[in-house]
Amino acid sequence: MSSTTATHVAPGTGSPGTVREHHEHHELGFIRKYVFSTDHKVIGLQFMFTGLVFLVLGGLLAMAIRWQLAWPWTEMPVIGSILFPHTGRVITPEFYTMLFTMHGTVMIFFVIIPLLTGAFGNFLIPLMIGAPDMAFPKVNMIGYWLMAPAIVFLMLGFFSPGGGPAAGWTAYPPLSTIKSAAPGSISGQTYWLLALTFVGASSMAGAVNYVTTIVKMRAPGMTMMRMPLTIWALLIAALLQLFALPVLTAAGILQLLDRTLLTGFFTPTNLIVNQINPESLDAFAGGAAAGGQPLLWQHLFWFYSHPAVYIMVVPAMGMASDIISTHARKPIFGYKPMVYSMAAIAGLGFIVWGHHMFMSGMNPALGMTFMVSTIMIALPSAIKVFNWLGTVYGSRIQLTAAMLNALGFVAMFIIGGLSGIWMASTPVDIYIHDTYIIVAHFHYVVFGGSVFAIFAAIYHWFPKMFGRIMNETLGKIHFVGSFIFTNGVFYMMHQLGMAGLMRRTADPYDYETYAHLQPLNEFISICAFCLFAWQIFFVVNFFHSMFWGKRVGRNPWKACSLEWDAPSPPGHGNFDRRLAVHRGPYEYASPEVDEDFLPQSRTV
Amino acid sequence: MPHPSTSRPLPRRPLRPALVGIALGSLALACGLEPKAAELRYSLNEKTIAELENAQLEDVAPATAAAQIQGALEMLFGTPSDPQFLVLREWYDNDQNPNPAKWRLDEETFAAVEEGNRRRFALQLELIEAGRYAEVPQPRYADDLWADWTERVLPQVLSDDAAMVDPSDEELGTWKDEAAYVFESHYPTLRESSRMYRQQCLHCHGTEGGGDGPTSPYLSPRPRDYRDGKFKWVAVERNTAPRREDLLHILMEGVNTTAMPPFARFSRGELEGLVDYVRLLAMRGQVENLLTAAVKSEGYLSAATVLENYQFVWERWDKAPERYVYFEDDVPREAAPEMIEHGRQLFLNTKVGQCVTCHGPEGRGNGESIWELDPFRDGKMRRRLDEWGTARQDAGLPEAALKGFETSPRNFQQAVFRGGGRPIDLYRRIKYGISGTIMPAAPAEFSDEDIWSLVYFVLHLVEQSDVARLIDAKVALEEGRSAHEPAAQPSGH
Amino acid sequence: MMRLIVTALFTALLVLGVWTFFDSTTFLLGPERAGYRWWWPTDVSTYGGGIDLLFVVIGVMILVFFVLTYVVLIGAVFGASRKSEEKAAFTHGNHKLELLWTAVPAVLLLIIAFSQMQTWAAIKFRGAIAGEEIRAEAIAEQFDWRFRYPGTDGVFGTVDDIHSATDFVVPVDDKFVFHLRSNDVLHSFFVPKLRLKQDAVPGMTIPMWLEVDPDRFAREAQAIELADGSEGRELVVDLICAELCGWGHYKMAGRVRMLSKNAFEAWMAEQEALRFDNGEPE
Repeated sequence: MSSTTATHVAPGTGSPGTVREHHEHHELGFIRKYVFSTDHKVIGLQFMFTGLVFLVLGGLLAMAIRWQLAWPWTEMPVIGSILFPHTGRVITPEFYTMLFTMHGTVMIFFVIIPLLTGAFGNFLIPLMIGAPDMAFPKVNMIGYWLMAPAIVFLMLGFFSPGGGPAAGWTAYPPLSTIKSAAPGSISGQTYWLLALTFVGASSMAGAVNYVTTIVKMRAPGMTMMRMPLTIWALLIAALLQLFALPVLTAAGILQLLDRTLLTGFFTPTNLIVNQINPESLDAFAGGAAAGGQPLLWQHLFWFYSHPAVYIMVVPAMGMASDIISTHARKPIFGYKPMVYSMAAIAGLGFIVWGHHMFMSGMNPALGMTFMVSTIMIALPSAIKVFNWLGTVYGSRIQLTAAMLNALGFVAMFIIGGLSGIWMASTPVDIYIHDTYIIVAHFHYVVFGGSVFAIFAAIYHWFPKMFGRIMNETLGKIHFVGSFIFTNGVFYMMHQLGMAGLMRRTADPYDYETYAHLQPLNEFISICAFCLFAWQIFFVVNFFHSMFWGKRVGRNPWKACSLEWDAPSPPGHGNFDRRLAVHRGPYEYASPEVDEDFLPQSRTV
Repeated sequence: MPHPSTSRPLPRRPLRPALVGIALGSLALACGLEPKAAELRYSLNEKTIAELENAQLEDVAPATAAAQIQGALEMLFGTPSDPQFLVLREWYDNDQNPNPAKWRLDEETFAAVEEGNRRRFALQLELIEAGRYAEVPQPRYADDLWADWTERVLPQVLSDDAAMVDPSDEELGTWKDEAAYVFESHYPTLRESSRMYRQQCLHCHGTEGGGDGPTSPYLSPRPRDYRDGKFKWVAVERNTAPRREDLLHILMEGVNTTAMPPFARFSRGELEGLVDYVRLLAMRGQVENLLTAAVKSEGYLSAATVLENYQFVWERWDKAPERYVYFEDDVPREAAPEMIEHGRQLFLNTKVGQCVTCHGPEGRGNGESIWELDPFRDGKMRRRLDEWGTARQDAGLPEAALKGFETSPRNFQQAVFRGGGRPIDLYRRIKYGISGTIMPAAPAEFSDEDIWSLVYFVLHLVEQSDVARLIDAKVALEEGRSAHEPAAQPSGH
Repeated sequence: MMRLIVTALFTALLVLGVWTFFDSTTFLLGPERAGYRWWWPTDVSTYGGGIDLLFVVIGVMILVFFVLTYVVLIGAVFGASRKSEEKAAFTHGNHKLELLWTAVPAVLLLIIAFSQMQTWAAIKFRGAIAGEEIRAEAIAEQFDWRFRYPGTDGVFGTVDDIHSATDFVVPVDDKFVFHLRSNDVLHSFFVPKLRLKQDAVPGMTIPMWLEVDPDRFAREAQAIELADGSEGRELVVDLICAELCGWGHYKMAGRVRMLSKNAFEAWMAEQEALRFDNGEPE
């Protein structure tokens, strides 16, 4: 059934059209076509739907968090009535710790990474490089279906005794390893570790595919320096995953061993947590080994999780570059610097993990070294921003929904990136570590950045995926409201952080230092509810357009990259004619032709 | 993939405006969100229910008896949303109303409350001083104060703050003075304290103070069950009601190594108000126990019985300060080795005092006497229960309801005492025992000297195992000096 | 029309950004408080000035870049051609510009990086407290702060140790060096007004120091009456746990009570007496 894939195509000689002729025309059943498909487009869409569903779940968790922060210890709608009916429908403090843990986990591992690398990586890579499918389609399919056990374990975590994991998405031991330290650490944490292991395996399957496909299966004439920036970004993100994920998996296994087999990698001696000494031989504690170091987890975890944040932002940057260039009808300003910047971000990204640990008790001398590398990583990001500005300057902007979201990405990435410089400097970090400045920073880059880039990418590539175009008016309304409310929610968090407001606090207003911050938090929460409600424009637009949207041809945006040469939606094997690449992907406003775009594959 | 059908543009007429309407409607809803606090009711202790069911009452069904007790308690103590002590005639006549308790506080305490209020309401007082009355923000846990402020005081100060409150009474001053006075002299009503309890305490201690809130299953030791009126870390004799100061002390200092934190960041007034509310919960529980016993013995519940028991419980609490424990001479400041050795001998004595039988030969809290035969499993042993657990077991509750009440004698090698580790604190524990636990009062044969010997023996054990000293000793060894000399260098690593 | 809306949105964000940089009252949505300068609680330490200065310097730099990039962005969006026949400028980049905007930020960033090393070392390195006596121990546990002082014999762990729950009482004189420990999980010792933060790691004993600046203290402290009738000064600030430690993380509040030297000595004497108190009612 899967003999349709061409894994033996050498670079520059592949002729997808030829391969297609050799296809046997067999009918795949529904399951093989839509469920256990090896077609990269189907897998990409599977990741996309999964990611969007979890975006809603992560958003709901965030709404609960915002409710608690605006009006602590009041009746919480829905959750209060279901879970805490006898104590006034008010959430408990341990429930709050579970909320922010799961919000972070879901958003990072089940939304952003699946959407960026899983959905768009899968969908776009073969299309943009002119390949008929991925290098290892079966591995690709397994990669998606490894998310299934991950999801199962995640959900089991919610329902385990003691409730879901509650040690933060960062899962620092001993809070996460000692069962008596938190109710979520009784069993929920174990499910969390298992879920993350499977997500990691899923990402690895994808990463292997992406790198191999990009390196080996480009269409003839598609040199590395003629690849769209999306592909460069996905390649770099895949390399990041390949090198960093094993460390997280190893760390996760060590923590799992600490929790199940009672090893002591992260457990210091002589702890007494909630009256229980983990080393004691009674039935509950079980005689765990000790002599470990909590800091070891932090190093291992951040060694992955810092590159992870670049995995979350680099593909967004790549896609935003493509979208901006296309809708501004102007070539990308500084293609090579853009490529080198992304590579620099990724490379430097491996030596900055300690900036999450400045206050952790590690040797302060390390603080200096990590500080220098972290400050330097601001540079390539800045270069990219300047290049985007250079792209829109003097352009002929079409303010389509896709472009709007891409510009919103740039605007909010600027804010998120600039605030990062405060965090990079260690003395300032003494004050702002674990405050809302950090929360503002990463939400600007991940929500204002990656999520807006995802919206842009969906608006932009929806026609290719479904052969229909999303409604522009609804898209514009969606953007305006989301932009306003996103900034309403996250901008003032910078100020909250400057006032010293701590993260992860269920109720900060009893501290004199924070007593005056409740009205601002209330405002932020109301903006958050509005932001969540506003997404209805996107949801309706998405589903309506999928079935009844206006039909479009191959290239509604008059774009230059290869995916627009394929039919919309592309069939099996993607392209229906021979392809060869003659130029870069950003030849807009080219003087060589009358139209304002010159596709990569067109011969002149 | 979406099946090939004709395009259908989004209908302009109903859909888009509908969406905008939904969005704007959500906006309006969001702005008008007004979160509420739910109405709660006190429920009966499961012990009470079990006792009534096992009592084989003749004249009344258990459910009816329970309802009667519930009704009586509600009359006496109110509901969580509106807790009130029923005011007895003689209290009313003598101006000794416990609602709010400030009428029963002494001057010193009240002065401390006012001092605390000046800090707590610093922002409000600052704004009042500056004449910015409209900007005065609502303080937490002070709804009745806020209601008084907005309804009575604010309109007056906004219109004319220099007017006299009562032209015939100079002492009351102007409305501006009154504005400041309202905040400075604020003492929480029981309702305000109940709301504060709901936000700070209920999730562990439960609505009725039974130590059974949603977080309690995850805590070790379990939170205190107030309903028997027994409190461990007090400065009064065993099985006596605690003084206000004892409860306040726990709120201020917390209970070290348990999940009960100190709440010293709150003002004295708020803490005194919480003490009032905890007393209400404890008294309610005790009255519940007595009424249950009355129903069991008499078969019915009369109004006279209810009031009698209410008064009885109040008197015990009022008389608590009379049973305060202190030492009349000076506390010894250090112990000679002979004194410590004498203490050790007393400790190891298995006939008199018998400390070692529970606390173990090394003081690790692993003595044999803490184990007894498990009534639920033949031939197996289980830890003895403390008095709360025993009461529950006697009422007929199942094994699952006895979890968390197992005895756990102090492990002196862990170097922390929950009720305070000063010599006088240990003196109290040894001489008078610990209410609610199997730690008895010292036998009459023990003189005060004997008790101080024991105190210093225990402190000696604690000293030997203290982490800082172990580190110090280790470093001292490396530096070649005695462990008792202070280090000149930072001793961390 | 969309162009105007987008221009308006980005301009509004730019204005918001610049405005909140300078004005801290309008957006607070609540009354202003004493003890705050701009958004920050005022610092009363001797070494916090370096941190605040660095924050402002970086803040100014990022404000400049924020304004520059936004002006270009807004200008580009607003000014981009609307004529459908006109093509955009066909350029793939400008080498000189790339060099310029690589070199300038690089130099600025490196300057920032190297200029702050001294501040960091002064606060966190062991050299700052070499040879100093450890005067207290701060112990973090779920969910409270406990402190102890060595008492008259100068040794921790003996009977005469002074124990304090929640209140960390420190004198206003030279560097006050103390050890930070945790009994169970990770916590963090955060005092905003002293610009102090350090994670408390179980299994580690971490030396820390604080030093209250006498002038700043004098400006903010309140007068208190001591037992012997004389006047001391006191400033109480929050101590907050800054590392998730379980469900009670939010209520793990402590207080740092900074006392003038005479008040501190009076407090120590009072505590020493309390330690051996016999409980006799007065």
